[in-house]
Amino acid sequence: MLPPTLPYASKSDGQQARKRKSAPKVKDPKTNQQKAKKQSAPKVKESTTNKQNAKKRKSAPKSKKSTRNWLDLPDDITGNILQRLSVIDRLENARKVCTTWSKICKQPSMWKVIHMQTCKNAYIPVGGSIYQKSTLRKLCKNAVDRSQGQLVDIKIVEFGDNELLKYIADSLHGEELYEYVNAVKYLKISRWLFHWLRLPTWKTELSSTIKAIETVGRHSPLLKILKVNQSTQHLDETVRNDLSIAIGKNLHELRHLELIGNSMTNIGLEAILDGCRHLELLDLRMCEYVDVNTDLGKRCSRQIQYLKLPNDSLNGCSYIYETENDYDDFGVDYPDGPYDYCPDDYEDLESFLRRTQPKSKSDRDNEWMIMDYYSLL
Amino acid sequence: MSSSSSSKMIELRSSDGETFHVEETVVLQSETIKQMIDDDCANAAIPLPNVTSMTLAKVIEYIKKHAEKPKDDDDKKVAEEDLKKFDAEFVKVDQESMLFDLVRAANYLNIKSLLDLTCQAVADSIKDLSVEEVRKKFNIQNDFTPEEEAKVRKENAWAFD
Repeated sequence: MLPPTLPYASKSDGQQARKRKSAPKVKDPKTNQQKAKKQSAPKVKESTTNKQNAKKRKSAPKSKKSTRNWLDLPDDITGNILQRLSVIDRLENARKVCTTWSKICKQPSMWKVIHMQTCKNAYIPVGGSIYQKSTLRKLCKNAVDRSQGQLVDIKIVEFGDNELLKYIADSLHGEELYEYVNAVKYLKISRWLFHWLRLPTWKTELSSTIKAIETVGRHSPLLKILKVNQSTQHLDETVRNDLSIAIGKNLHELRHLELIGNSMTNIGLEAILDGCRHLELLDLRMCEYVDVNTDLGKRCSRQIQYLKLPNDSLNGCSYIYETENDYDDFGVDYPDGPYDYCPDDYEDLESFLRRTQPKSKSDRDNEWMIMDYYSLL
Repeated sequence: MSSSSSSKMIELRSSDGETFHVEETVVLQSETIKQMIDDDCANAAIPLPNVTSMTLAKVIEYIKKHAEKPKDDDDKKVAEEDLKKFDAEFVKVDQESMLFDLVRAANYLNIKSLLDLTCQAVADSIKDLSVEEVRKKFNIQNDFTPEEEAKVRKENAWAFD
């Protein structure tokens, strides 16, 4: 994630060594020959040892134990390593190891991506510890705080609750919304959240979805991918097409639109086809009210290169299942449901794009901006 | 380091004076060396003062493997699998110091895939370890003052109330 930089490691070695007065590495002689050469003057005793050691290493490189000083790594490399640890490892361990690591873990960029999950039994064994869901929620908030608005990708599996959701939403909806929405490249939130948001208050949900779409349209007109998928929705006729109309009105640059289970009729479909002229992929599966055996349907298949029709199989759809049990239960609020069927709730963007093969090559090179609507609620 | 190919050979010299001959096409995976070649600085042996012969040999093993080109699509799948296995084996080194040297070499030579691979290997080796275990494994001194340490420990403590 971090760009590989700074080829001259030796320089920062020197800096590090100077910086870290509080922890002289007496027992930990430098094996790097450069360093041995550099440290000629001040600590006579130590530097001789270093030189000897360096020599020894040259002739007999297979020493028994690691004697490298890991704090000699440039900060961005240490950051690169620590970023690969789980959020919990970073919060609970890495930042407590030493002042250097602590400093690195303070950088908001370390918390751009927050993926946290439990196993299905509500507990997650980490480093021998058992974390309760409530603890995970608090740790997650802490991680969100640390991101200081730089969050671009958050995924919470199975331990979220309303309060946590609000907390995250607040951090997105504050005054920084403008910057935030612009910063969002790919924001995904796990299925539980999807479920959670599909509680019966669909009407408020709908209006906030529309608001979110309008906001994004204003601030991030280049949004290319939008997914608003759900199990079949049976909305009142008066509002059935509102979402589609909002999309057609606001998101003219969309290339990829998933509206699985949407309640729109052909009116909504037309609004999309009129408004989103660049659309290449349109997923209409389970859109029961769309009638494709019409002129509009024909236009749709002419205009859209990759079209999925209302009756197409849901195979390959990552969070709506065809198996009856899952499917029947879908609208029911069961926060601890059997999500273990899909460990990675969302399809990997790249593999999706590879499969759907966008028309032109240049489009692939563009930065794809994606929004899953429920992530902005 | 023999090769029957007719590709131009580049000479690399490790910090301890050993020279290695590597095909130019292979060595181009290193952005640092690529830059040197582009700048026409690669006519004589390229000195790599930050990389020992042992580490350099390992790096060359890696870039050679990664330079192999599959012939067709079927071959490609096999090659991908093969490469995955190779990578997994490659970072199974008995000594932390080797991994450390590889991370630094990958950084210095600017070989992104190797840097990713080795950084991930380091991360994998410390995940789930306690603070003390990490310090011990990497010879890192606890340089917090007692007050600082208390503060750092306190920062998350509320999560466990």
